[in-house]
Amino acid sequence: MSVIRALLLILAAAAAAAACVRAVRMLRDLPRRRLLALARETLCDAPGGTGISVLYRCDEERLRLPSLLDVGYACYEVVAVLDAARCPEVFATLESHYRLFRAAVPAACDLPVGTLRGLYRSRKRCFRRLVVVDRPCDTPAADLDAAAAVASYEYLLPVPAACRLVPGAVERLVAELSLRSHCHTVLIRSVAGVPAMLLSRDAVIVAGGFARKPWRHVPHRCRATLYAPLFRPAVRVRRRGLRRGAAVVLALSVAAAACAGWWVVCAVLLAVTAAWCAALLGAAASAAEGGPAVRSRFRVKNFTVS
Amino acid sequence: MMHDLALLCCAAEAALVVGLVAAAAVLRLRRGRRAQRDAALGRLYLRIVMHGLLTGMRRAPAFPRIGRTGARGVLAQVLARLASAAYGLDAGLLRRIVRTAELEPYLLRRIRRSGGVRRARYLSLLARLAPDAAVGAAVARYASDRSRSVRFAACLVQLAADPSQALRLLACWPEPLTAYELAAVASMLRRGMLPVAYEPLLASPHRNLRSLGLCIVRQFGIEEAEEALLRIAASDAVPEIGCEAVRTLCALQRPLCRSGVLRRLRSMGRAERRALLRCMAAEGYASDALPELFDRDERLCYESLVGSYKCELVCP
Repeated sequence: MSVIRALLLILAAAAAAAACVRAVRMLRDLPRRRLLALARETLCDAPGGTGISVLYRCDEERLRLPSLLDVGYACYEVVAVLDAARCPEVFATLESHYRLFRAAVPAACDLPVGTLRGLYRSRKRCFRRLVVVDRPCDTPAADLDAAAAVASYEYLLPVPAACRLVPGAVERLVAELSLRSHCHTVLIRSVAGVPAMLLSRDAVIVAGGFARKPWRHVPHRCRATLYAPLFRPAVRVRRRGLRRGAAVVLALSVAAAACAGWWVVCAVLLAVTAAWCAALLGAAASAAEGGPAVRSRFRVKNFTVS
Repeated sequence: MMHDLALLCCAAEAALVVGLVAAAAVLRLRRGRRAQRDAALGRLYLRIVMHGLLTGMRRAPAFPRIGRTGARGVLAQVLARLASAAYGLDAGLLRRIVRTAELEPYLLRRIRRSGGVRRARYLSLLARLAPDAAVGAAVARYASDRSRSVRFAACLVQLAADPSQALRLLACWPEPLTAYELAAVASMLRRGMLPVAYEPLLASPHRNLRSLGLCIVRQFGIEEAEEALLRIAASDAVPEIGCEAVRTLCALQRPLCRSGVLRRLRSMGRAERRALLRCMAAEGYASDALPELFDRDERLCYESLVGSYKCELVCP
């Protein structure tokens, strides 16, 4: 029994320490975000020619495409994968809205792409950064492999399901990459908000595709962790009442455990509370400042592909 | 023993929870009140500065509430962003505003009192406000700071204060400049704060100066630098700079079937060659323009890449 108690105590202490470290790192990221926000005009020049391809599985809704395309960075493109046979109305809407034309499907050079029905680009100059891949519905990893195979740039950013890009996220990634241009960064992982990662194309090719989980094969010296959110949920559900209720229940449980003298239970409950508070602090820090407060007047920039 | 440990753990965790809740509350409060106040003040100051610039005002305008806490910081940010985003501004008026609002002493004070990334941020603000030689001398001691971002921001202030020392300062920089740092120097250069003289940079024995020269050639699209680029691609001792010269030639859409480029291509890895092929396809090089050194697989891959940019006339 005492072994279990000791184990619980150690776990609680470790969880609390992890929450503390995470909170400190989130707070330490704030001045860095302000410094990089000051250098937005520097980042617009695509330092070092760093390019980012966003890989997006286009499902039932197409609402997220405009927000993905609305990024003020030059070397950037969105590769959307969808099954035109399965959702013809979505494809028809995309085709008419972006005035897509069919281009030749590139040969599979580095990655297994499976069957590609077609590759489409936009006739409109303002949407030249959009590439649409039509392929039969498959696993998420296979879709991402197909998107990576036709992507033009060296860094790949898969979009998590039902998420939107946070304003300024691409610029932040470019800043981090160009600040580390001498260390050959292969993987940037964001642990704030929705977990996401930016991978170099080489890492994906060496691993043999997204199905093989390429992030596991990246050496630690080539990794970087970002304490700023890159994506946020597309639909924000406000559960203020539920949150308050949970906080009250947690506080009462802690008080009851303390009154009863169950200190190990109290320590575990307090560790849970600390982890929750660290998450709240992270959300507050993410929303605090750093990102570009002023959005562009034009929804999509008039950049060419290269 | 176990009881005491559990009590200790509870106490520490309770203190941590209180600290986290307090920090979250402070952040939310700052986000709510201070950010709104700063945003309103920033809009007001921007309007005043723009009015002064557009009407050709000779004297520095008055800024309301400039004595309040944080107001000088807001004005410094407004001026820095304006100077970064616009070209050909009346530098005289901006200097007068900086002098009248005592922004330089304010920023130097903040730089002295802060450290790390915050210090780098205040130094970056100062670098954008066209500082004079005295300010450049005042920040010289931060050139040996522990933090690389502070050292570089101090270097930027010195560059802005005395552009004639630009080559010496960049040549003295002990580490290879990152892409971000090169872009920061190039953006100063674009604002007219430094001279655009790429030739001595490309011929320089210092790696950082050659990198900056390549960055300038690429950003300004200087096609006259082709011979120098070919020389660097053929014989530069630093492989990264040689590859960068080839990519710069590609960005300038110059012919790549040249001996210098071929020599560099031989030493490039497979991934680098593929990346170059993708760059070439995006720049619109024809399949015939491929140098002979690419093998059959790479040629086929390139042809399909080029096809993926063109409209398919015959649909299956």
